Amino acid sequence: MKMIQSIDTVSDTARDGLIELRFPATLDLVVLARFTAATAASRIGFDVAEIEDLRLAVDELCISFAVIGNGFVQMEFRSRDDTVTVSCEFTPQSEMDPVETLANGDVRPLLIEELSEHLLDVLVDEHGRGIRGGRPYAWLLKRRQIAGA
Amino acid sequence: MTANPATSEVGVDCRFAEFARTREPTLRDDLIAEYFGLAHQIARRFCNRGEPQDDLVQVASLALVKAFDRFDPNRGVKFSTFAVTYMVGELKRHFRDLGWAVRVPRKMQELYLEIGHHVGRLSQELGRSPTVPELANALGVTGDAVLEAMEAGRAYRTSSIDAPDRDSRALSESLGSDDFRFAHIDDQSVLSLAMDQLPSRDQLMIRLRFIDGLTQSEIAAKFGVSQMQVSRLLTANIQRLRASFAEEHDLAV
Repeated sequence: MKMIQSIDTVSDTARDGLIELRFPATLDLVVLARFTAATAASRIGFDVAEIEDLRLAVDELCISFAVIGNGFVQMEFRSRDDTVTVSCEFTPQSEMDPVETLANGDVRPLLIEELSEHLLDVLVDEHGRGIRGGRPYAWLLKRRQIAGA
Repeated sequence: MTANPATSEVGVDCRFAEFARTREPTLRDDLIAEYFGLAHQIARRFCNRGEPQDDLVQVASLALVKAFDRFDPNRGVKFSTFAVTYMVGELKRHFRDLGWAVRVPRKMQELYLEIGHHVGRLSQELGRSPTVPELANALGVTGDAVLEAMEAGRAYRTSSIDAPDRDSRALSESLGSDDFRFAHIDDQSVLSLAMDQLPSRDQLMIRLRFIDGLTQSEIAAKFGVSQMQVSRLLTANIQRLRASFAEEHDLAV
């Protein structure tokens, strides 16, 4: 699979394990986010089961933005010590797009929101969502389980 | 039309020899027709694996015709033996090719299946789920290849918990009856409500992971399958939940 071809910009700051990713908000490109998250987690020794959980969680994180469409998803992946953090922000194609409307819960029915919340509760250690700079924003944090801990 | 090939093999051998000599189309049709029952039998051996039975019979029947056209009676092998081998091969190929919802390179398909096998073995050896470098080392590939194959595995179609694993055994066969206690689910979260839309056996895996909090590895051990298979089924079932919700609200999830 050619994972990297559709990414608009990718930068990797090796020192702090930061990977930035920006892609059109469509469902078929969520694969890029999953793959990047898995790579970031693998770098700091997550095992396969933890990576699979993280991939599912990234799906949940992205899907609300991918559903919104007509814009870009800006993501940051940080892998440091035993922790991976993933943040996700939706940027509309045009400043004229009604971002506030997109963020107020009209787009995703409450039931789907609750389902995502429940899944994320189990899959990761911390997560949240809100509005940052007027744009929908969500994040998650997953820690590597230390053997014997 | 479906004479027992085993009891009439000698007579059939003579007719195959006659066909080899005459190439008579009517005789060809008659001979093939006599083995359609065998095609049905072989197709039945592959049922309950997520593919419609009619499709399997069609695959087996087409394989029967191909086998007939390639059969050489002078090689001393009975047609029934040759045809069974050919039909089984075609059915296996059918599952291998159609089991992937998105076209994934064969090398990647094989690596994904190998990963599932090695995750199980290494998990037993290590007492924990392996890391990507450990898997890569065991498989003699790069870590990137492992990650790509894990992603490619998402394209593997998981029609239901009844789909076969590597050993051609349905996951549902390894579930104990004591596990089906959904009548006593007291968690009225949205997840529990959503699960009502799934077949009861598929609910079990979702419940164990997202309500009871078992890890993928623990669920895999409980079911006697690989952690990768659990991951694949969880992913597929969550996608079903999302799709079901989205359908209710006219969303394209």
